[in-house]
Amino acid sequence: MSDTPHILLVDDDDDLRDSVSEYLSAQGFCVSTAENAAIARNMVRTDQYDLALLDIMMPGEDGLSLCRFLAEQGAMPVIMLTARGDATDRIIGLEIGADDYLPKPFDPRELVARIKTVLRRFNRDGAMVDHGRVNGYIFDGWVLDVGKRRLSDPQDVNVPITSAEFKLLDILAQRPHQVMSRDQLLDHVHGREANLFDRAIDNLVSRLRKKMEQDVRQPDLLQTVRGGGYMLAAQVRILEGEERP
Amino acid sequence: MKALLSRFWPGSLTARLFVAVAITLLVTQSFNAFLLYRGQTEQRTAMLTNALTVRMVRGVDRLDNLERAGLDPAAPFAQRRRDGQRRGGLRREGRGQERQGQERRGPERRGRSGLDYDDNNPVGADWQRLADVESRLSSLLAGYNVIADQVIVARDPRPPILPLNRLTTSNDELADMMIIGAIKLQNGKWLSVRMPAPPGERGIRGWLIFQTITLYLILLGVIFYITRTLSRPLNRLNTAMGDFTNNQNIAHVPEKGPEDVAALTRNFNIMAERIGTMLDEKDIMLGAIGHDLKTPLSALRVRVESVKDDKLRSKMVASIEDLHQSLDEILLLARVGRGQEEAETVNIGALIDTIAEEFAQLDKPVALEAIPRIVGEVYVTWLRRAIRNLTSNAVRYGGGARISLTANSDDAANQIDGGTITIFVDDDGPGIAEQELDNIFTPFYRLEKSRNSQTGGAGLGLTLARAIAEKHGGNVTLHNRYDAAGDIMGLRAAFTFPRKQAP
Repeated sequence: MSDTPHILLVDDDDDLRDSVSEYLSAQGFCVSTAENAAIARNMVRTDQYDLALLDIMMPGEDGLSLCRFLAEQGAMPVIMLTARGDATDRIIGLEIGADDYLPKPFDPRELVARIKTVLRRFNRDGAMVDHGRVNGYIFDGWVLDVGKRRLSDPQDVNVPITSAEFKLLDILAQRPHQVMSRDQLLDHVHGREANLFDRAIDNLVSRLRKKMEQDVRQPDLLQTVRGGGYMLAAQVRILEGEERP
Repeated sequence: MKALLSRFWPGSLTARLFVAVAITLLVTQSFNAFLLYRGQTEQRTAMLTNALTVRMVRGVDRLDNLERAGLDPAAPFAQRRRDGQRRGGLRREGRGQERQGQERRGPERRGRSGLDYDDNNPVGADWQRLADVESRLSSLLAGYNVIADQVIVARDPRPPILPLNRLTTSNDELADMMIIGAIKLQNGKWLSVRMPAPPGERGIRGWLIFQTITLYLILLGVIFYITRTLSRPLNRLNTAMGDFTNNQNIAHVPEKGPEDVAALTRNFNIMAERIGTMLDEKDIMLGAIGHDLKTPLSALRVRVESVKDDKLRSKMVASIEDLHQSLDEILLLARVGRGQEEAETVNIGALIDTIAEEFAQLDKPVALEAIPRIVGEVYVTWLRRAIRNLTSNAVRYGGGARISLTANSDDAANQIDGGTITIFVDDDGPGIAEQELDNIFTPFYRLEKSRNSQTGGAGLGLTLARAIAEKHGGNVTLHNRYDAAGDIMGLRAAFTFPRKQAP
């Protein structure tokens, strides 16, 4: 893989394609564009891309269907762009294997940050983390639904969490009983660019404890390891494939 | 009286129909039974009168024959009394009170059925007289040329002689079995006939009542069935309409029941389908509008980044954000009534916490009082949106927000099952003039026009919050908070909704 990541941008709007590709090029990406899903499929067959940016609403085959196709190939990560403000598209997008989601209109710097985060995660984990297949984790009666980014307690009550809290819990659940340092966690949660202190992770953990622990002072699930970091002290079962939480 | 009536008069059409028909049936049936009873009584009276007439006429004839033969009418009777046989003569009742009394007590004399010839009135003064039989009898007798000074017909309380009393056991029943008819002849003597009352007198009333009630119940059953066939499709239709109104849930109602009710259902189905199509089209249109406006807005947002002048660029970005926010609010408000998502059980405390955290991430002063674990059934993305709007108002106009959460386990005042949950968003700002507190929920309404450029949004934030509260079956209210001196300390927004959503 070359140093300049190759991005495939699929959107039916000329203006958006032009502006975004100009901006991303200026940020050091190599961008190819397609105006519909059919063209995009052809391009994927002949060329190698590092990441796809897909609009959901397109004439003909829509972005969700194209996303499913790309996720099944497993060749590249996908970020969905959508004009719908509600969470439905995001949930569907993430469930069918998109790696991230950005509502229109987006801050272009936010777009660049997301692209970098997704690329780094994909390059590091590669095909090891099969995005389409892990549906969620069950531990101690708690269910973390990865697609819906939803945490529910043992009474099946939805416990809303912020996206940082979700990322932290997600990474801890992937490695149960394994100590994660604050640096590692910070990297997963905020990305390397994030100019944050270790304290941010402590805050996140304490917020999660308030929501999840019986006694915040004596946590059972989210344990502090002296001098090390944090770990999820629970038996974790992974929900895969068609299995639903 | 009216209140009493309305209390027992049912509300629903079919129940009213049922009660009305039931009452009408009861009246007509009773009337019918009464007529039947009268007819039977009439017939009985006629039978009794005829029987009495025949015997009386025969008795008078016999008296005449005896008289014509020069015999004492009482003689054969006296002889008969001696040997206890009946010889075609007439009994002659006792001549003196004392003797009569003794004779009455004698077992062989009691309640004999037959003809008697007597000096005195044989009917006791307190016996129950049958006036209608008396009048008929006297007119009938007149037709046979029997001239009577007085005609008396009464029930004879003395029990009948054997073997009649062997058939029945109760003295009560025996008491009314005999009828006595007496006429005072021109010679001042009394001719009397004693005979059993025509059969069936006592049974007829009970039989009539039984028959009436049985018929009534059968008819009631039929009416009940008919009203039910009417009420069931109506109820189904009503439920579907309620569901449609509350949740915009369009279900096809089976077109069953009576023809006109089925036609009503069919028309409802057609209407609901049409409205559903229109709503779907509206959703598609809104989606398209959102997409077609937001995509160029995104392009513009990206291009703005190339503007070198920082001040200019940030102003442009703010304008785009503002436009975006307005667009979002309009689209959301248009969609809030559509009940496609399902309410889920959510830890409201944790939800409020994530909202507070979002604001804290942007360095906005939002404080959250201790998170209680309060669980409720909500439309989570909508609720999040509403609380976010209230909080951002508090931050914008009040300089900061404090969010707190309470639950009433039992809200008896509003009779809401399972109690209510209230989310308070307080600020320490200048508050709102009392007369404006309600206007502020009006779409596009703004308190201070001059602050437009700072504030952003289409002025739909509170309208949307209220619409979302209504979607949850609750409400949003705003109150000024006053200190001890009576000055406004700030504003409190209260978002209240039932813990459980109506299905």
